[in-house]
Parts: sequence; structure tokens; C-alpha cells
Amino acid sequence: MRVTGTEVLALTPDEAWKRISDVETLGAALPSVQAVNVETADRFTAAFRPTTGLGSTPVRMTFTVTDRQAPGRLQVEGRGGATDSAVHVRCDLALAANGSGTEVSWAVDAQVLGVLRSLTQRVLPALVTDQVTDVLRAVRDGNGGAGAEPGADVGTGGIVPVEPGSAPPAAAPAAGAPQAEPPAADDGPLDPEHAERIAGAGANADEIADPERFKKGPGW
Amino acid sequence: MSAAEAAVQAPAQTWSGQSVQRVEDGRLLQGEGQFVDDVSMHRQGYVHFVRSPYAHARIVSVDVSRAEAMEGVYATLTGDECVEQCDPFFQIAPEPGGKLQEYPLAVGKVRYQGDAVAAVLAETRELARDAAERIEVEYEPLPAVVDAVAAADPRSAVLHDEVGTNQAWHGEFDFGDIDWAIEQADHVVRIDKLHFHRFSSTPLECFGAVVNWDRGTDSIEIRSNNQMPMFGSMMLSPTLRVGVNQLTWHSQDIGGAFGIKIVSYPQIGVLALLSRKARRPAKWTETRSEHMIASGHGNERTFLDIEVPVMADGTILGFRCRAYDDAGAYLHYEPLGAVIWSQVLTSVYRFKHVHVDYTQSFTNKCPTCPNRGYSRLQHMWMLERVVDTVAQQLGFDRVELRKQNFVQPDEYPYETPNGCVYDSGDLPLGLDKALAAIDVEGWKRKQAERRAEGSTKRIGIGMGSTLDSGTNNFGQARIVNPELPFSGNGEAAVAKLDLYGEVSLMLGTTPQGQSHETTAGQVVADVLGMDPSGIRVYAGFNKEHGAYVGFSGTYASQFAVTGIGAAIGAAEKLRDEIIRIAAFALQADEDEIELRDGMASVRSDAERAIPLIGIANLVYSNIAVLPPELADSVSLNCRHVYRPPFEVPDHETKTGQLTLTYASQIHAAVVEIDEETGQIEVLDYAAVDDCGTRINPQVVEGQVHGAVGHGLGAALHEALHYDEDGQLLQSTFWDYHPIQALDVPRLKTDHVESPSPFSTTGAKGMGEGGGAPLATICSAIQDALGPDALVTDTHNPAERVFRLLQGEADGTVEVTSR
Repeated sequence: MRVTGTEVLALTPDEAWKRISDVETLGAALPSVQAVNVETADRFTAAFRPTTGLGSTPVRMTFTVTDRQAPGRLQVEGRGGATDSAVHVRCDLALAANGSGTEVSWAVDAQVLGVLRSLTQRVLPALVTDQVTDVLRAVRDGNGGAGAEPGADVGTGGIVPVEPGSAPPAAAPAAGAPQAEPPAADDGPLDPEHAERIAGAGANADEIADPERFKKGPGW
Repeated sequence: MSAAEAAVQAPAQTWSGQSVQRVEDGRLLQGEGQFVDDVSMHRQGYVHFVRSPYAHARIVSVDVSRAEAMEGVYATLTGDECVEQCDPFFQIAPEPGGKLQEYPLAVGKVRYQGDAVAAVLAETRELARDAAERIEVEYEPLPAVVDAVAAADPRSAVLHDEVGTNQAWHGEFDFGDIDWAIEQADHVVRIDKLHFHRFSSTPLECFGAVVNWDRGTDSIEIRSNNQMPMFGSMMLSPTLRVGVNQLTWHSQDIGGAFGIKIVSYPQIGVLALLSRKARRPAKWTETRSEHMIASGHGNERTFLDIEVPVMADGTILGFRCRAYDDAGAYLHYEPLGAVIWSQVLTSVYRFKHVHVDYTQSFTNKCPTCPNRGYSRLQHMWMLERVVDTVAQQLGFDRVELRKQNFVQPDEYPYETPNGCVYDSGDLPLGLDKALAAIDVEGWKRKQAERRAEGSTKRIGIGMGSTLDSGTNNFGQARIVNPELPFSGNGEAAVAKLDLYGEVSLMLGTTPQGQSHETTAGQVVADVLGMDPSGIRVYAGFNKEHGAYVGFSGTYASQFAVTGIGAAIGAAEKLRDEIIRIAAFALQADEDEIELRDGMASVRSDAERAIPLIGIANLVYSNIAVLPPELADSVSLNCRHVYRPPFEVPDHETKTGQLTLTYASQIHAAVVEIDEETGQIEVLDYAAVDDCGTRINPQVVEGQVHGAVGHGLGAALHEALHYDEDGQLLQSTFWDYHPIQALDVPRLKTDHVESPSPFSTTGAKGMGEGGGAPLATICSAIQDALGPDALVTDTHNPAERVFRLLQGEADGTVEVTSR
């Protein structure tokens, strides 16, 4: 199935290209990402939970940049899946200046197999559109995570598998690979929009992340 | 009258024939039934299967190392290990299909989405599932074949290299002289294509089993909901390289099966191998998605080039067609379906000339298997469409055309062109009753009024019929494979008088809601002259009771004949022994003894009586008082095998008595179709069943309701579609929409009672009338749409009806007249 769309980012073409072509930024921008492990400048593995027909489904995929033509064209292929399901995607991105921003035209060829094929049959175009849009907006915002889950391991290093039924382990740096940097304090573990909502209720991300806060009752 | 028969005075009213309350209901309604997931064994682990997301792919590698490294994982199993430890399942098919090599897990290739490539046994269900995700399988995708007709094309990708073709079985069924009939006919009606869609039964309880391969005794204990355990033994024993006497099977309550649970033997084989490897019991409870993608589906069948010769007076001489049956990826119980449809070769009609060119193909879909009305409902639906189409095209009244071509009441026993013998019936009466039940004349008036008003809500009146051929002659297997040493059928039961005079009955059947405990208790009570409440019918199946034969189980509408026949036979043997002992004890002749209310007494002297506990005492605990010749010839533990009077069919001519009894179902329905949306509403529905003498009318009624619901679901909601990649599009109930109570109209039921001359009680097997609603709803839709559209598919949801309303056609009909 082929799904296409466009998104205008409030970034200069150079800045947009810099972010989009960076696999670490791309990986961190995946929806509800639990872990990203960058193997090379063109390849990363991610565990994330995209919304599917019924709730969301944990998916593990390996993404490879298969074509990179700076500053305007990028092709990324992803292969992986979930239990009894397989997902193959190829995403072509074309960047062009649009006023003060950058228009990103995208086309995704998605093949979903297994039980997920059944679950997503009526909603796949919408799911692809939502997820590509979310990724691009997260890239635009530069926060590295459209839906990164609290505690998500977003970093570089060797492949760090996220095992089913277990919390994502810390990334293990591969020999020669740059040490993963801890997330910046102001990035926080939460989705920015979510953090903003919570902040409106008189809390902040750090407080939410502190389990002791929940024991203090109403008014926190 | 024998002494034994005379001993039991026929009560004024027998228990058989009464709507005795179901004895099963107490435990089931109070949540005290024991289903397979209720069974646990000490130290058991839980199994999760790794299933292919691809419909057709080469297995490049399977790496279980990361799963095995997890704490709590007891064992894994792959296809390669199966090859080392097993032999392929034996195949019913002759070559080429018979060359198929199937193991409990896929080897070398996966052939449908859901094909199991590996399995994990772990401490918990959740851990097993998580470990299964760690098993890495590399696939090399191959082209998928998803259409049975296309699969038969030699240019299609071949599923099984060892078979070399996708043709699982092919045969021609030629009776009478169809060429002559077509030459003689005043009209020939030609329909280019009819399609019977793929659906299933979706029992409330999915597959499941707990298996323990005890290394100490080298025996395999199987607690499962398999519905034909001795067939399972036939398949598993050679595959696992063990004797049948090393396999024990036990089931209690089964939450529906409908034929599908015959084919759980590959999964049970995997559990056995995992149990042996891990030295602990292995338990597996299928998930609903697994059930949808990988348990078993009903047969999809495409009929091409149908030709129907018709005389000017409406006599239909017969038919010719090509049939392509979709077996799916493996042959599970197939290709028996390739002959079973011919039990009802001409359905309820008197056609004399038939030619069917039948091909069964492998496709990259879930294997098919028996499913309520197995293989016959497809064929009979096609014939009902033929009759409706003939009526519409040639201007005959549908009711009168049916009645004219029905087998007539005075023609029974009626022999079909292929040698099957219809035992009894009154089809015209059944049709009259069905039409009267829906007040057909009233609906015709409303239909005319709507048409006159130009209403966009069209009314359609439909009717349809099926025959429920019960009690297979397994000799028909020789028609598909002359080398198979199968023939006849049978069932066993054991009746026992226990130490304190308790009466027990053990059956070889595997009830799944059919009320065997109740109905067997009724007939045994009549034999022994006692109340059914005094008889304990053991729940479920237990191989260790010894009450089984090769084809024991519950399937193919046969319990009322075989199971009841066995129960009565065993009870009669027990009665005979009781009478002999009582005659000795009471110093009377055997023909003076009568059994009544749990006592054996001398008919002419009520003072001379002995209770059953006394009879039991003499045999079990006081045997020295019996004369040796009597003591040596009684056991109070009486096994009987009921054997239907079958002969071996002629495999060359494909003729013979393929089944023993023929219950009939005649249904009528009224539907309303919204022209603007295609939405269908069933306004009225009636079902008339003739299953001969009814042992328990309320139980029969329940079966009729279930069958109607099943068929309505298939006609309007339930379908299993695969896309061009071989991906199942209904892997959950979210997409499948199984029939629910709210989808079923208030049913009107009636019955005709034509006792079978071939069965012990006059009863006929019943319960598989699920096909009648498919024909009936199609007939009603066709009536609403009129001659501008042709209903060519069994599955007619709103969108298909809408397309038909827009003039889109899936098939064509032509008429040639002299």
C-alpha cells in the first residue's frame, strides 16, 4: 500500500535536512518509542508502539537509510514486526524550500503481514499518515520523541534489544561508537504536549516521574 | 418376543421421546463444567507457537537460542527437530496429494499465514509468549496462491515440492447420462459460476490440550477437546512412533466443535514432543486469533459451467458442473470432503443424470476441515441456487417446481443415482409447514403492496433445503483412495452395574453440547425399566473406559444412531445378565423376570423380587453362591459395539450406501432489503426439521436453533477473506462478526417425523442443518432483486447486495430452449 503526503516544517531547508537525515533524531521521533539503538550513521533499530486498529502494538524494526542525496532526498527502509506479524516500509522523503520553511513530500510503501494486516486493514493509510506526520513534527520540534515513553532509551550504541516483557535495558555502547549522551534535563522524559498539560494542573514532569508524589494525595 | 424383551414391560410412556431436562445443565450453568483450560497437571509448562506472518515463504533459519536463554523457558521445538523425532502424518489422499509430507511444525517452508514454525514451553503463558518473540525466523517470501481454480493452473507456484502440483485430488462423478439428458431437454439453463465462501464455526472454546509424555511408563496422557480422539490416535501414533496403547485421551466438557476440533492433532503432537523434551506436562490454550488464522476453516468451493437440463413440464433431469474445492495448505481430514458431498449427490431432488468434475486444490490458506454440514452444504447450496434459477429463468413457481422434483413420500427408501439410500421423509409436507409458519401468502400480499407503492424497501421470500446425512460409511474413503483399509462405521458403549447396584454408562463419544448424558440416559432407562436419574452416564470421553472403536467421536450427525445404538446394545446385554442372575436368585424362569423401578421381580409373584444391589452382590462379592456356569458367563460390565449395516462401496463406479440416515431441513424466510444501502433485515424465519423419531424434542429444538444461527451468520456476516498476499483479513472477532443472539430473528420451528427404518430407535442423526439458511437467504435475496440480478455467492452482506442492486454481476445465466 502506498500512502503519500506533505508537511511544511518551520525550519530552513538546511536545518530540516540536518535533522531528518540524522538517524538518531529519526529514531527518537518514532511514536511511543521505547528504545532506539543506532548501529551506524545509516542504520538503527527501534522498539516502539504505534497505534494500530485495536490499541497499540509493540513493534521492533530495523531502519536503514538506503538513499541519501543531500540536501533534498532521503529514502529509509524498515523491516521488522511484532508477534506473528511482519512490517516492511519504505519511505521516500523529498525536501524543498517553501517560503521561510521547508516542504517535505513523503511517500510510504507499507506492507503489513500477519495478524496486524487484519487489524490495520481499514486504517492503514490513516495510521501511516499520522505516524509520518508525528515523526516530522517531532523532528521539527527537535525534541527527539513524538511519543517517546517515559524511560525510553533513546541513544546510540550497539544493538540493545528490548526484550518482550521487560523494561528497555540501558544502551550498551559499541566499541568505537560515541558514548550515548544522557537526555538533556529540559527535554524531560515526557511528551512536551503532555508535560504542558500536566504543568497546567500544577505539576511538572519531574514531580510526575517521582512515584512518591502519588502517595501524597490530592493537591500535588 | 425373546425372554429378555418380554422381561421389560413396555411402560405406558417411554423416557425416549420426552423432553427430559438436560442433566448437563446443572454443572454448566453453575460454572462447574470442566473444559480443557480448567485442566492442569503438576509441574506443567505453557506452550506458545511461533506462527508465520507470510502465506508462502521458504524458512531460511530458525534461531531459538535467545528464547532458550530466558530463565523459566523449559524447551523449544522447531520443524527440524520434528523431522528427527517424527514421521510425517499419514495421508488419506492417494498420489499426488498423498505424497504430501506434513509434520507437527512447518519444515522447509511455511504455506499459510499462521503456519507454526516453532513452539516454546515455559513456566507461564506470558513467559512462553515473550520467549516466542525472541525466536528469530528468517523467511524468503514466495508467491502466494489464494484461489483454488488458479491453483490448479500448472503455472501457479507449487506449495508442496514433494507433491509437484497443487492438485490434491481429482475425480469425476458420472451417473446416468448427462449428455443424453442435455440433448433431450426442452431447456438447458447454464450458470457460469457459483461460489461458496469460506467461513468457520468459531466455537466458544478454542482448541486446547494438556499433554504429558511420562518418561517412566512411556505413555502419553492427552487431556484435550479433540472431538475424534481415535482418529487423532491414528494420526499421532505413527507420527510420534508410539503405539496407540501408549496414548490415553480424556475430555469432559467441550465448548462446541462443529467438526473443526477433529484436526487439533498436529498441535497435540507438538505438545507431546515438548513434554518429552522438557520432562514435564505441556499445556496450550489457543487464542482467538490463533483459532481464526490457524485452526481450520470450512471448505470454500467454486462451481463452474453448470448446465441443467429441464423438461417443459418442469422436470429437472440432472446437472453437470466443474467443482474446485479449496483445501488450504495441508490435508487435514481431507480429501474425504471430496467424496462426502456425494452422500447428497442430488440433495432432496430426484435428478437422474449427474456429472461432476471435482478438483481439490492446495492454496496458501489455513487448512480446511469438517465444519457443520461438511462438504455437503456447499453442494446442496449450489443445487438450491440451480432450482431457484431454473424457476426464475423459465417462469416456474418456485414452490411447485421444488415439490415436483422432490423425492416423493411414497418413494422411500429412495436410491440415488450413486447408490445412496434415502431412508424416509416427507419433503412436500416439510415445505408446506415452513411456508405456513411464515404465512407466505400474507408476505406475498405485503410484497405486492410495496411494489405498487414504489417502496425502496423490497421484500423477498426465500426457501431452501438440506439433507443431513448422518452416520458415515467410511468405506467411501476408498472412493478417494482405493488403498485405504476403511469401511463401515461403529460406536461402542459400556453399561455396568456397580457394587451397590448403581447403573453406569460409558460412551465412546465426545459431546460438545449435544446432550449425550441426557439422551443416552433416557434410552438406557427404557431398556432397564428404571428412571434416568438412576443412571450415571459418564461425562465426556475417556479412552481408558474401553468404550471406543476406530471412528469413535462426535461428528457427522451420528450420535442418535451410533451412540444411542451402542448405548441400547450395551444396556440390553446388561439387562440380559441381570435377568439371568435374577432368575437364579428368584428360582424362576428367565422369561418370568421383569425389571422395574430398580428391581428384578417375578412377573406373576410380586413377593419374589431382588434389588439391583442384590444382583451386584451376587456377582462382585458373593460369587461362590452362583453356579459356576453362570458365574463364568456374567460380568455386569457389558460392552457393545453398534455396527450400521454397511457394505463396502464400489470405488470404481463411486457408488454405494455412503451414509445411513437422512434427516431433512426445510427453511423459509422473509427479508427486507433497503435499496439505498443494500442492508438486509430478516423479517421472518421458519425451520422445519425431520430427524425421524425424536429422542428428546427439546434437544432437537436446540440443535435446530444453533444450526439456523450458524447458517444465518455465514449468509450475512461471517466470511474469511484472504488478500492477494494470502493474508487473512478476519483474524479477530472485530472483523469476523460471529453471529450473536441479536442477529438472529425469532425463529419459528416445526417438525415432520419420519422414523428411519435403518436405525435402532427410528431416529436420524441431526444438527448439521446449518446449510439451509445459506440457500434460504440467497433465495429470498434473489426474490427481492428479481431477474435483473443473479445471486451467485453464499455470502451476501449489505455491500454485495448493494452492488447487485447497482447491476454488478458476479456471474451470468443463459437459457437455451428447443
